[in-house]
Amino acid sequence: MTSAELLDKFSIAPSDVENIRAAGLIITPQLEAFVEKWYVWLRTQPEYEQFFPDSDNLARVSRLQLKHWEEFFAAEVNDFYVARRTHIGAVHAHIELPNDIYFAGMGRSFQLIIALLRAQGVPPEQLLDMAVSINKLIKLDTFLVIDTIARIARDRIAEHGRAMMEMSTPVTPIWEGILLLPLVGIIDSTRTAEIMNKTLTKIAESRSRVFVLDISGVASVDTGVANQLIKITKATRLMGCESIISGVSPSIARTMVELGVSIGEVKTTATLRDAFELALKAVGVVDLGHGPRTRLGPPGH
Amino acid sequence: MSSNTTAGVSMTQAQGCLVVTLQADLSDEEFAGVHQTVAERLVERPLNGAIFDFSGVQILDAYEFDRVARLARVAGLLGTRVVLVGLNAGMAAFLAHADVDTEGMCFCLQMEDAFDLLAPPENG
Repeated sequence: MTSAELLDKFSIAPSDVENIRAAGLIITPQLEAFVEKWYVWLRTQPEYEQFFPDSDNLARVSRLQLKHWEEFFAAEVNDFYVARRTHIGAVHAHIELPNDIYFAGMGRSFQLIIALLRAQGVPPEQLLDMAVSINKLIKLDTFLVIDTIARIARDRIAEHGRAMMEMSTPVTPIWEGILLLPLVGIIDSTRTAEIMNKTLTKIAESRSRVFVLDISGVASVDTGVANQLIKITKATRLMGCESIISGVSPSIARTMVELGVSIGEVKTTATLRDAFELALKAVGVVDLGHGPRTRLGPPGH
Repeated sequence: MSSNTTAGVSMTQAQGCLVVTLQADLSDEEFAGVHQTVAERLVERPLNGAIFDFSGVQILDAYEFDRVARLARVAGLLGTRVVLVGLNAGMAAFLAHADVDTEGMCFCLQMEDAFDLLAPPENG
């Protein structure tokens, strides 16, 4: 969202900006006292010890706080302003500051600002206008910070998901021309799509002729997953790579038969050992003496 | 080695095999021409096999694949083994999802494998 769109969304009109700047004229000379008061409050909070263990850090952060409120009362909501607030969110996400203390802190700031304005003898009517305008901009600030924190959290989750996906499909060449993919855990359609992509890419890269898909670590197979696996074997065949599904447990075999899954021309074996033997035969390492393919042995046959 | 070109395909003979290099986006008429030419070539002289090379094709739909598959079956009936070569990962994934009929067909990733596969068994 651009800064203009944000102003529109939070209904901050030019009159609000004027009100904030008018309040700023009163508050800015006392900003240091205001920030100091705010820290007096923060010291009473249990989070204080955790996030401000040393005084150097505190001095630095209170200087930043001062700058923050100067910018706030200048009420120049442009891309720079948005970027500064987004940065605060990134910092909060980084130190994992709990949202409750952030919201409480912003609420406290608002109370202190109003108290200061009242103490300066601002007439009640003008004070109300200022309060409404200041509240709007504080809401916008809070939104930017929290939105950034939420976005960073979402990105982290997505990244973990990707890493998990990456780890869950280790397509590995185990011999000249043979690829192995041991599948473990629960298989869903996202994973089968990932398996398909990675396998086909790997086949193109490694010029493999046999692909062994070991499903001994897979807990259960339903019709959908079985069909997806068959599709993977079909796709590998289109690239000149025969697939062998190994580690078919008795229960999976029974399920597949009961579900009426047609496995077509796909070779299946009960153990990885059998599949590996078949694979070695197919690439010609184990010479059975029939078929022209046995001539295609690896170097040194 | 001899070669000639009809619309959309070029045909080369190498190592006793007819190599048909296919291109994308052939109309039905053009493909019928290809079909005719290939079938005639297969009848003309004995060959070890025919290789349909897809490595120049980036996009292939199920319909186009079926046309080629039919030609491969015709070649099979004429006594020539056919190997389809060079389908890329994207096309393979798509054709598997489209559930095209590949029964009895033979695929290789590289031309070299196809030649090896079609080579007559060595004597002794």
